[in-house]
Amino acid sequence: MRTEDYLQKIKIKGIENAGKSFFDKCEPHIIEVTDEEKIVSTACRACIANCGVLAHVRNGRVVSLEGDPRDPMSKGKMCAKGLSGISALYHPNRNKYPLIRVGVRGGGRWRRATWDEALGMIADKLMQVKKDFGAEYVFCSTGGGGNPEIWSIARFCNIFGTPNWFEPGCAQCYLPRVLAATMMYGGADNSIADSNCLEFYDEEHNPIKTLVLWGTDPSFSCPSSGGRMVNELRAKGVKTVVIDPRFTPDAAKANIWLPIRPGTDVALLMAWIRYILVNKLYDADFVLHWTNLPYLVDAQTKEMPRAIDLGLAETRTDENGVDIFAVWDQKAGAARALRYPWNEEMDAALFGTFEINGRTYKTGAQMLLERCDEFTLEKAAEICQLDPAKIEEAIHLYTDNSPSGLCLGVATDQTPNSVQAAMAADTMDMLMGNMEKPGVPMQRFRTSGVLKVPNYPVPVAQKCLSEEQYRKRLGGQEFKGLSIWYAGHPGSVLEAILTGKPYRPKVWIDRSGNKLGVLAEAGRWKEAIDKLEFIVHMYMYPTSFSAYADVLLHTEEWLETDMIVETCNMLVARKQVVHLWDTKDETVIWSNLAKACAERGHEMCQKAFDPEFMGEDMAYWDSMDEFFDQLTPAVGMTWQELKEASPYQYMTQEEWKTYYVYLQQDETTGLPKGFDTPSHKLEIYCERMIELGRSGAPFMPYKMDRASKDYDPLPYYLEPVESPVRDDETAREFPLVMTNGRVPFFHHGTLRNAPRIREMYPAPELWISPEDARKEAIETGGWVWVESKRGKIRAKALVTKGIKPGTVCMERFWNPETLNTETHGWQEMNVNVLSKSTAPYNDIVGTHTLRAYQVKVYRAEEGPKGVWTRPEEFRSWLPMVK
Amino acid sequence: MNNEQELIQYRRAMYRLLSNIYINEVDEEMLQTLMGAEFPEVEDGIGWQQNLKAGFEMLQGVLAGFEGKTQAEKAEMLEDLAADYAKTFLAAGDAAGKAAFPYESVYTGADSQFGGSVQMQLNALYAANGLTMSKEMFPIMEDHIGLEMAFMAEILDKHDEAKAFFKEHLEKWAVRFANDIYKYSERDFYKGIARITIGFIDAETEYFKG
Amino acid sequence: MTQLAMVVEVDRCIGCKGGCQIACKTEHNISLGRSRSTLYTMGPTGTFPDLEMYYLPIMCQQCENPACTRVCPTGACMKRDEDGVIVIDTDVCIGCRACINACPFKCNSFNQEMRVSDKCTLCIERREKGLEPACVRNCAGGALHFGDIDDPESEVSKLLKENEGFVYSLPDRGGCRPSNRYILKNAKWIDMMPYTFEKALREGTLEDE
Repeated sequence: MRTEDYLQKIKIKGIENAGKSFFDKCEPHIIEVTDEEKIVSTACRACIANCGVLAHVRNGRVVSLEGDPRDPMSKGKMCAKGLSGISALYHPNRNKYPLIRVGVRGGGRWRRATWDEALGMIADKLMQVKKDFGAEYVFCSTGGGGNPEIWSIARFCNIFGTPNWFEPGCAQCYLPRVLAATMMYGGADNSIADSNCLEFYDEEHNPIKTLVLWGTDPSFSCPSSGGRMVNELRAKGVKTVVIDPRFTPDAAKANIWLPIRPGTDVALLMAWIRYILVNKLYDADFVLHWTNLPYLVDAQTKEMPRAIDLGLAETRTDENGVDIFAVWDQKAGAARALRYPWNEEMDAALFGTFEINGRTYKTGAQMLLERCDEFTLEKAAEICQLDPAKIEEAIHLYTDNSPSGLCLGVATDQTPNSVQAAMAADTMDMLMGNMEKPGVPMQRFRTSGVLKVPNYPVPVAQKCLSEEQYRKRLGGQEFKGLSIWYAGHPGSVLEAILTGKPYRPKVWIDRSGNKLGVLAEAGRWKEAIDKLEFIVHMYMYPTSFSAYADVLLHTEEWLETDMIVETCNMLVARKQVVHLWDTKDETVIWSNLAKACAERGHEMCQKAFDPEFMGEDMAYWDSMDEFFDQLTPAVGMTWQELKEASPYQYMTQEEWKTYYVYLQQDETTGLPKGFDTPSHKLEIYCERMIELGRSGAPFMPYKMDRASKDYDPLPYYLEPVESPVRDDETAREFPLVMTNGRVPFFHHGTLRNAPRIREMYPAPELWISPEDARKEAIETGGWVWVESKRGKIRAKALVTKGIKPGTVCMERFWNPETLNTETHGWQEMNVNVLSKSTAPYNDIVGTHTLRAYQVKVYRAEEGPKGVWTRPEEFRSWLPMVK
Repeated sequence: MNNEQELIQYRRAMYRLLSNIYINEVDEEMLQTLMGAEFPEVEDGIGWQQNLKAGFEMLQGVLAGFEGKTQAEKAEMLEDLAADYAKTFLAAGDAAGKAAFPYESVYTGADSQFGGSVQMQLNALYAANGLTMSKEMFPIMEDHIGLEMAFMAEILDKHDEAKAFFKEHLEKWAVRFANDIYKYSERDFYKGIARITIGFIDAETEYFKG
Repeated sequence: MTQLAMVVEVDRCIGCKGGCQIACKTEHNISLGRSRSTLYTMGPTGTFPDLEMYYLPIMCQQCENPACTRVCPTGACMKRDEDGVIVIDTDVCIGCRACINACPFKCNSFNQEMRVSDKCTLCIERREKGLEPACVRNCAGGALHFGDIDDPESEVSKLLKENEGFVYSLPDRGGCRPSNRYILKNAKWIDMMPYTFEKALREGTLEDE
């Protein structure tokens, strides 16, 4: 082509120095590019199991993943979720920069912004709302999916000054079990999926004989850690009992499967307790010496008198500050003071009702027995829809083989009977003496000392929240059990937004996946969203929740994050393998947000950066390195050193596995240490629940007003409010019981956009028995409507004998592909459109109803519009494919 | 200045302009510049000529729409354009995750995968030429079209190097990328830029043949 | 003779689809819609609540007398002497799909992009580097083993010997002599083609119903 010709056609005048050059000058230098593959050891976070991972990196790109054989819990394995990490990392839909809404909410239009602009916009709004209304009008939430640092939210809220934050988890996930174990025992709870029951991971030497898996399916929830471990135990001959409405792989491989009616677990647990007590199958010696069941209880007040109250002692406590209780000495035929730990001279009654000074007293065991007394095998069988002979067989498998253990899963956390289920389950192993000995789940092994708060490292800085603000926590007075995790009550926040009482919050900052997919009764949350002024969503990619947000902040995928994971006697450093865009770890985002508020004059936010003021609560940090460097000295290293040494054995197995901690001698008193409760005994009769309800002790920093009713020291059974046995309109119109359960492909709301996962499980399966299916001419693979009083959705039917007749099961689901349609992906197949957000709640922690409610199922003519089900439809989600 | 030098000057200007349009949203300053620019009169023709002509016309049409608008109105229109930028190049708001991702590796990498050896090689090439990516911008990867074009602007004086770089990189994917803008953009501005890009890259291809 | 094969401890399979699906697919960049292995859900059967169920991971059976090699018109599909593994030379394969029609176990699939047939090769590329197949490496349940079943000293042969009486292979009406072995002790082996079984279960036409 001719020069003049070309010149004429591209000669745009006036743009010569437009814009920037985008390059800085430097010394010319050679960088070698090789195809060399590096291996980086890190840890997964596709779910909470945190399995060790070896990431293969070539040319700055993660090319493959495999498990790290050095990880003591996963031993080199990963599951479908973890193996999809590369897909998640390079997902084309990832939020790549902060995004600010353009146009109407829900319109799906966004513009890119810098971190400064986005955080500035948020801080401006927060400061304005704080000034005009109060910090409590801002609430935050987090969730277990998507690389959370849960305490970051609690910390930010404390520092900003709002008492309101929650998790759809908490009272609906794990907190009930943590609360029970903490109150009754003071050691680790019996959850497998939450990475406890660490004793089990030395499968070869573990002497356990029978394992009861109650409402948990490790094969599905944590295949490569807990699932793998249970598999190994079964392979070497350990017997298992599974209580689950679903015939999961664990149920299929169990010696006994009890297909329980959803929501009735506490009835069955109490039947087991009753059977064990009545048939004297418990470890009498252990129960007498190491639980508070022999202590006397005032039958009317339900409280335990101290010896001093009965005129049996001069002081309330002994010289070591431990309360002196009273027991009934059968030798003396009278009540006697019982000084910790025991008095061999006495023959304390375990059961009995006694009159003392005109008042009736029963032993703790007597109270427990009477509470459980109605739950005979036949009664439990009737309530739970089981065969009483099978129940008995299962109990004996557990009691006749020692040591045995009971592990409780999330199922019971998801109904209003949550805390009671945890209490009853813990009671079981305590009665059997399955505590702190080789083979059993509940232990107090040593720890590295790196994590000062449970599970996640960020200090919550509770002192930063004023008493005045603390008392404004929505639901704080009624559901005091939540304060063990410093958290608020979602139901109360929802009601406050919808009714405006006691005040109507205005701003919601969420750091999690899809609240509309996991909170109960999504429709009401949508109503609440419509009433909010400003919404921020922090996550890796857009979800239904993002559709309603004003600002999207992009967080890191797990291959980009740093975290310290404590697993058995090792510390594993999850380390950033590659870094895309300018994503940030949420742990840093909250710090940056606090700084933006500090710059706008927020006093406590300013103080939050002052190391002297913050002390142990740590001053805010600018990077993960800066943050972790403050924790790793506990093991004598810098964060960099730990990363290099990872997986790092902080203690030998022998030092770490401390059995019989309760028998160890306390150096100062010379007495056995006992358990980590005030009485040093296992507080099966959990008297402290009463105090918790009345004042908030021991978790709340200020004395609160009473909850509306005293919390119960013992478990009790609560029939689901929507239930097939209630002869009411609801049961008639909606005859089937709905429950949920995990599948091995997703963790909470995550991975619905992972193409290779979705092609395996494109739509949620509605498990339905052949009997129920026949009534509606439903076939496997056909679309069905599933309807409750609160709404209706669709699912694909799976007609299977593996679900008890009268019950259906479905896992949570949302559709990323319809994100930008009017449904925003949460209305098509989302089981939480059906669940129940309103009272009754669990009395202690406010659990709402995610499982065990009534539905009806019938054929649908077709599937929901626009949803993807065929494999090729997911193509555009493959890693950055054209 | 002779025609040869002038040509380099205006080719550089074009690379620089396109590089900026692809890396950053149009801000007030860029808008001013464009509104004050004088576009060449191009007759009807075939191939790259026609694309340049069509592209200039589309662009001018959009710019004319800004005439006489108040600051506030212009700001709103720029925000609208920014939303289209995010959709077109970042897949923001697109449930299927489809966009005209402005990265060579997406178009030429093994399995159209992002990053990897293409990115590394470019990083090395920039370094060998004494250039590093500025820190004063949104973080992008080395194979971003805007950077490749900015690099061309830097080395245009060295004909052989520019030719080698162009053939090794931009020629292989820039037109396909620009065609994709048509699929995803909903605004004439970026469609106009796309046509200009197609015309320009095709012109450069022919230019480097000679 | 060397005959590499997959030996599966079926009792250990927990149906997680991590190793045998995700790991396999990402290792070989298998497109959506097909797989080199399929995980069948064999059940539940029985009468509620006395049910049985197991999972069956099925990939190329590395038959001794493979139907696929017999019908291949170009010789692209052939059984290697060195390891007994059946491979498809994708340069030679003309995509006629005769092998897909012929395989009674439905273990091969058609690669639409390359227009050739595709199947499990027990990860030839990984074995060349001294690594085990991706599915074996990543099987969370520890169910998948592979090795030379013709070598009595191999780990898999020892495993088979230990579990004598509980070792099964897929029904072989066509005389293909599949090499993969399945060890099942805790449930009754269903002597049907897994895909036939799944279909019958879905349609409610199983004999024990």
